[in-house]
Amino acid sequence: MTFPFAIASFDAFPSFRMSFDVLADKKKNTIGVQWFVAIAIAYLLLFRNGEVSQTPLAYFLLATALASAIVVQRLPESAFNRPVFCQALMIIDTILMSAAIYLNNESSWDLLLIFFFGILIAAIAENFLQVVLTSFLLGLTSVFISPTDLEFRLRPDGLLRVSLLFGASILYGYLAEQVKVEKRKKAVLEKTMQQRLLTKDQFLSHVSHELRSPITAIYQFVTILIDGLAGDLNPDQQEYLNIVLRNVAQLRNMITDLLEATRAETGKLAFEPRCASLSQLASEVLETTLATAVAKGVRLTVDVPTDLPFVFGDPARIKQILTNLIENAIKFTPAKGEIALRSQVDNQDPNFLRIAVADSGCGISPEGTKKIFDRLFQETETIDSNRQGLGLGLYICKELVNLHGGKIWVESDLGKGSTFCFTLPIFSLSKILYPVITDGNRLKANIAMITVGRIPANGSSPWRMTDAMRREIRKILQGCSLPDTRLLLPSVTDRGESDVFYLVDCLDQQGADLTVQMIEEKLRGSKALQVPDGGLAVSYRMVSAPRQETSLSLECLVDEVATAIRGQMLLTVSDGENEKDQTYVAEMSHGIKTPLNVVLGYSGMLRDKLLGDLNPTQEEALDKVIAHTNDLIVAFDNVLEAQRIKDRTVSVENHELNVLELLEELKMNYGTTQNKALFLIWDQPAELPVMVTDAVKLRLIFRNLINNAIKFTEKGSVRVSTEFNAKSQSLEFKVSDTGIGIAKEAIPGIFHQFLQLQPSQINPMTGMGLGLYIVKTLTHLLGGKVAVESEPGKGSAFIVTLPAHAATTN
Amino acid sequence: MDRKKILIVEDDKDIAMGLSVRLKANGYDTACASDAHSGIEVASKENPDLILLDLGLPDDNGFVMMKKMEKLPSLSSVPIIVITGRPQEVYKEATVLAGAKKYLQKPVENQELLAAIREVLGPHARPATETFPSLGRHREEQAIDSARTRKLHRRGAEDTEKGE
Repeated sequence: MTFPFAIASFDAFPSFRMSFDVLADKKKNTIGVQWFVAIAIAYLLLFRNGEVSQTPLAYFLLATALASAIVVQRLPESAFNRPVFCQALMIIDTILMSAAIYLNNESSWDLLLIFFFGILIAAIAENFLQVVLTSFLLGLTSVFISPTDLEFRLRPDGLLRVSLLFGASILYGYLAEQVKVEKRKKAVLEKTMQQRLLTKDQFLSHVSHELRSPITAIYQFVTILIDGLAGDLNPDQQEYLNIVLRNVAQLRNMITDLLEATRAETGKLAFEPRCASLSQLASEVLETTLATAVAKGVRLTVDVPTDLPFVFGDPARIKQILTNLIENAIKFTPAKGEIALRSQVDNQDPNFLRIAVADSGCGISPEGTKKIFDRLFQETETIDSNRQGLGLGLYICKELVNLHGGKIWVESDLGKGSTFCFTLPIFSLSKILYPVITDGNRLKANIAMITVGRIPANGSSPWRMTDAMRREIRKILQGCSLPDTRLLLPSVTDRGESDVFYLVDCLDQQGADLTVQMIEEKLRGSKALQVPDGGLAVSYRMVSAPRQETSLSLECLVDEVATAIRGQMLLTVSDGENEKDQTYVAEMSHGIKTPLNVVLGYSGMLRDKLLGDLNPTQEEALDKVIAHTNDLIVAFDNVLEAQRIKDRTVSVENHELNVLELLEELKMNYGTTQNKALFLIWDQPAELPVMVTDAVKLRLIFRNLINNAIKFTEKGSVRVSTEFNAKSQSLEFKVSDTGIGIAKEAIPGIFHQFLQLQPSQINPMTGMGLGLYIVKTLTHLLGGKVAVESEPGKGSAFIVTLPAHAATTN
Repeated sequence: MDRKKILIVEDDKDIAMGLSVRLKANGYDTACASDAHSGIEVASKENPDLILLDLGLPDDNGFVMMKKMEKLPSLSSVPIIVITGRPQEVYKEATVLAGAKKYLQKPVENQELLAAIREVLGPHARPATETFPSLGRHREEQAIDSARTRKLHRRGAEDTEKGE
């Protein structure tokens, strides 16, 4: 539903082209032409030197013209997009006009009418040739067919008049055509970009829906219980529920953060690597961590020389890494211990700085050093809220360092202390340019450098550019680059002395022209950029690639850009988008497991009546809390998995798996959460071969299928049956329900990621969203296939077949 | 009877039930519908004073429902508050343009929800009791809940009644 609004906001054409804009609406134009023809014919036939033409042919012509005008007015919009239809109309119009001129045969006013007719035809013509042909035909008609005026028209002044009018109509047609071609080109470009925006919005919209719905239900039922709307509680129950509520609030905030982070293209949480001074960042971090260190009696020293080269990274992120490492060190260093932050150019790779945080704490065992950065949250599907201390921050550190392209490791002696080291790339313009402007070993053929700069107002002092304006310009520039070319967007410095923006994009001259135009329009249309006269100037320069050796030409290019970009720039590589999303999601999911487990664990304890008796309403409310928390966990895993699939970072970790154990675990998960009207039936043989597969992914497949079945089944049963097919050496999992079923036409679409559906088609699939897409993709990843059987109104069954490389038989 | 009636159009039955319990506890009558089609049907029957509308409904989306309602003289003046899980950055503007009075982002806090309802229905719309009613009062409210409304309640809501 965002379509009309999004499109409307994109419309910002400069006024000088406004006059041509009417040409875009084919239907209106065609109706206009038809009425013009009708009126012109009426005029030609009824007022021939004061006489009225009485011939039946005249009336027939008039009637035809009127009828065509009326018919055209009633036709649907779509008809006007068919070229054949418009051409046919044009031919009919031309014949009608010619005939009328012939019948009139006296007036010289027809010339003027022909001129106007030419102009109007240009409005609906498909191409320039049609305009010329029509004008030519009419010119011929008017000159030679009308016998009485022939003499006048063949005189020099008469001929001049005819050819002037004739020429003018062709010229107008030509101009109109140019505008139309340009508009069409621009429309294609804008459409691609909008599609990208919409895809992103739709993805978000669904993710948002899938995460926010369960948290809403959890919140509602927890508050219903706490407020006593379901019955009285004892103080213990009250206290536990309040803990649950606090964690629900935390979850809610995290979901909001996550969605905002995913959404932000240039927003506050964006990953924006730039040229940054490590010594400055280190001293900032020192300020914030010193208090903790002093409180614990730990000495904290920083040795980062100010003459170190600049690094290329996101300052906020680098600070986050440093803070995490220092805080971690403080935590594990006893009083009177020492922590040192040191940095130098990495002696193994001179393109990197190496930063070390050394402590005199308890140290880490050799096995520990390997696992310390691991993603802990994947190991703990079960309820375990005792995960403090190690790990939480370190995993994030690893992700952030990886994002910068660096490495992180730890050196440790048990009992003596440990040193966490990581590397960050040193800032180098050529290195940043390299991936943007090269294609394999060669330079890309077309490279354009677009510059947006400030023009001082006439005579007065230059106007001031505010930070908000800079942000807006950056946003516009990012929005105006083609989606499939990578771009580099250097912008202003920290200190604000430069107000020039550069955009390096792989575009040819025409593309650059178009982009510059688009930038100009967007700048002009932006409300946030109300700048005085002169305002902003947009220009571009083609950076030609010399036909020489790659290394040389690359250097030339870098020089070219570097001369233009003077001083120290903030650099934004906007293509980091994917990585950014992934990191945020990973980061958030990491943190989100703790509150989720608290909610699940405490609700479970309450539900099992460990803290006191419950009435049936309270039981039901708690069941709902637990069920929706389970939904939320799966929704989170889905979002994470979808991101990995999108970023192609999904990997399969195969291990031996006892399927019976997995099923038992799922049974536990779902066992207590069922309401009375719906039965979950588990149906599996007593023995199953041991599979070699990725248990995490298989579990997610199961949970999605079961959740999906429960969602669409009001009453009856959901049956999870497992079978081993000895012949094909495969395991068959079938999740069948007695729910609403799926219409036959809908089946092919259900596994598609929702964004492939048209907006109007999304709604029937609302509940399916990511879940089934994940099921399909993961099943394929595990080497299996998935099938659906369904009967509307009776239920549906999803069958997942996975190869069972039976290692040993149970 | 100056109790105001609120129609909840929401496809997630648990959320609808949760909202319904919460609103009843605060002195409103409620009715529920789980899709746009039945939403309009129930609205024409019940004449609600306010509609809480989810955007992602199984048949039509909330926008379509708002448009359809606009064309019905009996419903065109009923104020609508949209409660949705969809991101407000994308939908808020469109929702307001389509005629909704408020846009609430799920999960909406109870206080925020009640304040929004009060704002739309006017300051005198609420009954005198500001605090949460006791269980007894809750039960009494349900007793006067018309049979018609009850029929329209989803299974979940009925379970609550049984449980009380």
